Amino acid sequence: MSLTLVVRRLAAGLVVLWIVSVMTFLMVRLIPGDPARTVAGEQATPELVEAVRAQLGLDQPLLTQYLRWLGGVLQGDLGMSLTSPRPVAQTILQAAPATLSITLVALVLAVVLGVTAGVVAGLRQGTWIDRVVSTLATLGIAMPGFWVAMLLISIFAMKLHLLPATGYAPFSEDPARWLQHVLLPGAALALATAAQIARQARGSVADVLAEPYVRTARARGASGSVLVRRHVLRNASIPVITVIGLQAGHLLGGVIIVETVAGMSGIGTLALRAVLDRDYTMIQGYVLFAAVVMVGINLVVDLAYQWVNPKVRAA
Amino acid sequence: MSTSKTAGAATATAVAPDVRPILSVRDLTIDYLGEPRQPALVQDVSFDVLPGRSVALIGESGCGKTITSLAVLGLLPARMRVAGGSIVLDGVDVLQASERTLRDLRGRTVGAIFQEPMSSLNPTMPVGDQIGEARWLHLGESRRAARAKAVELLDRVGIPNAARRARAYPHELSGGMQQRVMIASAIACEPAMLLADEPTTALDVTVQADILALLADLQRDLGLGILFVTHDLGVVAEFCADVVVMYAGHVVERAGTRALFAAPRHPYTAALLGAVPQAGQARTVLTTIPGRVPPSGAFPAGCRFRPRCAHAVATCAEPQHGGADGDHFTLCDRVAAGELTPRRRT
Repeated sequence: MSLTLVVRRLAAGLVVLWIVSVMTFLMVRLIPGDPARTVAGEQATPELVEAVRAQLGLDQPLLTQYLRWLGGVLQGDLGMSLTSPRPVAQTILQAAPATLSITLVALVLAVVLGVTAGVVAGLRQGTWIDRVVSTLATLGIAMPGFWVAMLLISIFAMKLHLLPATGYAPFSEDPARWLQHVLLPGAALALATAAQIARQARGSVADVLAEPYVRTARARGASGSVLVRRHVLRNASIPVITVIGLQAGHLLGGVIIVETVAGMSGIGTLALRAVLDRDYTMIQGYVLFAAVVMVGINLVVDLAYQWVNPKVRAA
Repeated sequence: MSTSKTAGAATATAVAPDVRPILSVRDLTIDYLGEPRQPALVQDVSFDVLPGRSVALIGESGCGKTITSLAVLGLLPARMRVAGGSIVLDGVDVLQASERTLRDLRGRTVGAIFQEPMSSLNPTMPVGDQIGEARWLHLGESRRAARAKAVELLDRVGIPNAARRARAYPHELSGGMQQRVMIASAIACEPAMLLADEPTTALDVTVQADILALLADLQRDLGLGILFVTHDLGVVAEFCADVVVMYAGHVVERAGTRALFAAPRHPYTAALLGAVPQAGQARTVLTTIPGRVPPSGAFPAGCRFRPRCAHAVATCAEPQHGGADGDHFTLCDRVAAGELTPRRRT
């Protein structure tokens, strides 16, 4: 994989981020309701509202506002929250570790479980193990994440007292306690994604096994682990990687509810409150943050895709 | 037959009468257990492949050619079961052999090439690694030695710039090159036999000729016995010493190529030959065979060609045994009894 390709993908990601920045910026200006009035309060006099408007820079031309705002963003300044006297960037960075921890743990669990179960089922089509995986996968997709989270918490935390029910401990302070806290919500969040990945992996393995090149490899004397490792898995992984990329986005959406159930104040809780409070600068910050994470995930997925698929590599 | 001059290198090899066949298929019967069920999808198929000679397995699509060749490799698709007969490959009974024995035969004793070179090559592996794979699997060579040998083999099958091409992926090569890669991979361990399932069907006509020339060349060098599955009569005439004609899972005729082309002894073969345009004979009327091959699951009893045959009578619904004139076999009882002499119509 060439460096130019990585650079090109990175540049494409930056373009996406720039478009997102324009859209989030405009969103706050175009949305119904007046931010200046929101900040000043319902009872404020028109003079006060105008003063707030000038203070927030909302009386400037749109382009000037955008450039000023973008300049701040590039220096890590996302402005002040409209509803509390705290900088947006700092608030998000405080809430991010909990959310990202759950998401990351969920992603790792989902990939490991989903790929393993799917590949085994695909290689043993029609056997009991294939049926068990298919049934569990359907179940996993059907069960809502928040319900699974409550179920897991009530079993492992309330009944068995194996893991804490709520709260969060930073990784940097105590990795063991961190894992105890994120394991249950991570597992709850992972279940549906693991199920999707398992289904895709099973299907891809089954498809690849029917490919003529697998017959060629068999006709050459390849069998067992040589056949699976060299000819099946790499080819089957191509559509699975696509699904993992798509699912990563779902995880970032699903984590909002799961972290609430697990009693963590993460990004999701923050975003939800910001929306309800019409805290526009906070919403902007959240959208930008989510966009950066998504672009990052897509970059990794793209590079993984190119690594396994020589046809894409050339393009 | 050994003196036949149909052109092509295959026929140039003289055959001693006591040469042991590299492949011997006897009364092979295969059932299809899927839907719709077809018992005896392939029935009582018999033929030999001698070292250094080519046998064509010919017939329309769906007549059981490919199934028969896959049975030789012990790679029958799901729901296909061998119901009877024997396949002896280099002294080993394939149908009784363990999976381990079969694995050792595949790629070592018999190499295989298939119709679509593009889909028959692993798209995510450099072609050199695919060619070298059989070397380290069967001969215990190191990966490095196998890779070096792969370059040699690519050179042998006529691919220029072999060292660079060995690192290419299949999609970076043309169809003809891909088939050369398949051939290189099939002969990597210098097998005694090559199984070629429609190896030129997907290729341009000029490329077809190159590939056939390469196969003839390799056959002479390595003394390969080749089972050539095809529906192309032109390829048969040019390349193969013997022909096995299949129709709906039956061997309807088996003969030396020249004898078969000169005087077909089964109405199906006669009709098939009549449906091929003759070079140099302008404005001949091509005959077609009315109807189509019955779908599996609906094979008629007795002679399976009966519904389409111009000479069919009531006794054709009885099981056919046929007979041989020298080594020219026909399944048709009427022809064997001398009641009927099929004429090739052109």
